[in-house]
Amino acid sequence: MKKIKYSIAKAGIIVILAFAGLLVSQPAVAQTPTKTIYFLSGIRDHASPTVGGRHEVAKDLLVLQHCLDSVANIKGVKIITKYLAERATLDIEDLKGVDSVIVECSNVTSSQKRTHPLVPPLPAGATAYDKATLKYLNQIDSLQAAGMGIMIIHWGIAIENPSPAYYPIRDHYIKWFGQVGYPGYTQNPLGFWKVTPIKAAEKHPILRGVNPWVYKDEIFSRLVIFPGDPYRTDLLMGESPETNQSEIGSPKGVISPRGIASAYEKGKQRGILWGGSDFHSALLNENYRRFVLNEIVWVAGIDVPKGGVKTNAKQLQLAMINKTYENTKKPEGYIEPKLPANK
Amino acid sequence: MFHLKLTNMTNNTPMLPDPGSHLQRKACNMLLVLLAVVFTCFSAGTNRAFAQEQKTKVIYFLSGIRDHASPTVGGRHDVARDMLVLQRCLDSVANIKGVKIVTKYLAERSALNIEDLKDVDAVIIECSSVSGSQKRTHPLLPPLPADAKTYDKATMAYLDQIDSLQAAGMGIMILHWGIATEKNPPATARYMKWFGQTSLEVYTQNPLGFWKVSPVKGSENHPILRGVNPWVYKDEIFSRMVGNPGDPYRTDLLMGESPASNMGVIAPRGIASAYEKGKARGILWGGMDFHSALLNENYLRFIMNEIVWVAGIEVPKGGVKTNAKGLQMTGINTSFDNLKPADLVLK
Repeated sequence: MKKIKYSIAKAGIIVILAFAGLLVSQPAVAQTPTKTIYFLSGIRDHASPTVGGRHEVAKDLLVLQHCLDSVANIKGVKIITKYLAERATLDIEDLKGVDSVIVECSNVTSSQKRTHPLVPPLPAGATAYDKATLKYLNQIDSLQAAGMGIMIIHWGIAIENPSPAYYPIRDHYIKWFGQVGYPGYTQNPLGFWKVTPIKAAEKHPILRGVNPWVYKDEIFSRLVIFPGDPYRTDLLMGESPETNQSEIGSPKGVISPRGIASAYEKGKQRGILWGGSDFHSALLNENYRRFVLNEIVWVAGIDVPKGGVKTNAKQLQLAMINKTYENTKKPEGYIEPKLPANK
Repeated sequence: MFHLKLTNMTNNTPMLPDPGSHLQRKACNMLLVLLAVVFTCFSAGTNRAFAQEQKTKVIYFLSGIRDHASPTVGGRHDVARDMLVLQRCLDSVANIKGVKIVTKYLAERSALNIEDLKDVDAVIIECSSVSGSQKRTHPLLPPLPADAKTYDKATMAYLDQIDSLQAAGMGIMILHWGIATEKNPPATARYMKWFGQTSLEVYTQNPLGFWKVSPVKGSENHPILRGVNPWVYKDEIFSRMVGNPGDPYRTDLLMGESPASNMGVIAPRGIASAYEKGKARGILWGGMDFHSALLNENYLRFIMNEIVWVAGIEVPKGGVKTNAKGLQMTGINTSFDNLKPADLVLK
């Protein structure tokens, strides 16, 4: 009798524990936050159709998506990524529920074709955007204010046509990123850059695990910002001993130290313009890649892990290493990019 | 302190000096010291050395044409009178020592060479925008010819020379509408070089109303903010300028906000910065529409500090103080007074 009694009690305890375990595990699953990140590339209209490795808007984003899908050190967040090519809609239905959009594309004013996944060009002959488009842009404002981060990479950061017709786009950029390109002033020097994190910003999550690096890139820079803006943090300085462009007061081709990257955060709203990422091979540089991955994670509202984002992704190149512009001066510390060994 | 202890060498006991002889010796010593001081002060060598050591700083006040204000009602866009009052304040400066300040006022400068600017330590300019008219409004910059996208070679060479003057130490400060360079790309590029900031067409605003102005925390140690406390006053401030991210040469100095302006409520924004790169110093100040602003002590001190700093003169502790009396050369313009919220206290 005693033995039976004990067995029933034991079985009861086991059942209770199992039931409790189920109760505990259900909320745990429900509590794991999900973050949805969209990678949006525009058309590849500004590069050789036969020679790869530059302006690889799709391949750059696909590598970054792969890096994030294989992330090694982000816990407690389920990251869902999606890649979309040449988005052309003018409504926000497909962006609802998205935590960030990562965009690489050509300048919105560069073509009569739609180059920019978020912003349409002005129709031929039009002197202003129509009401529907302006309303759509305001809806993107609302999405960002509610927490949809926006990051734009390379030429897409510029609004080069100085026509007042493009001021609405310019002003939305200012709202989204706290900075914007300035037609005639913003440059895109191509050469070997020495990039250094800004000391005063070293505690910003995006700079976790990011050390100075030297690499080849064309960096859209000399964006303009607003003095005293409390929402912008300047992150990186860049300089180059020889590029294909010059600046007043420096020897020909020399780019003196200038701010090249900032992060913008105002309430729930996060925005980033990153003017580099011309050469696909830049992604082989560990510090560069970590910086860009940290940006992507941060702009989606995910905590950047200590030491920065690490990935187990193996395939970091989807195009050849482009060897153009190799004959310019290289700052000390330059290391030739190499493909990772296949394992 | 050096104490002379008198002792008897034989028994090491203190010697008591004779009170009478002690007084005589003291008087004699004082006389000798006085003679030495008088001799030193009046000697030719000392005078020469003093004259050599005293620096001279030359500051030019340049106003453009007054093309943007009522010709009959004064007190706004008083480009000449504003400059003349500021010149007077500097001529009557109370607390700058060891520097001889020479000031000069010039109206409507139109030269396209730098002959008149050589050896000048600072140019302080108040004028309309360079693009405000096809007439020359700006003492440093000519207007861009109609339909031209840039200046001709001679003008660009002239601007290069101004670059060189600034790099060698000629400070440049521009007030009010002169800070704008809309539709003039080469002027925009120079402004970025001279001031580390410029205007952005249609985005840069000029809200007119009652402004609350506060020094930026973190910049308290900048010389221009010495003795400058928050103030509230009426002004039209050209603001929402743009600069370069990460620029180590720019220091943001003032935040401004307005509960009521002709452009609505203005949230806090940066309204003043100082630019220093090597010997080059530059300032754009977008306020100074109403002449009467100069009656506000903190505002006046801020502007005076800017002028002194841009000329490479040490701003005294507590900020520049002046003994000037005539701080107004025209009537107080009361337009837009109705924008003042009832509960806003001017200070």
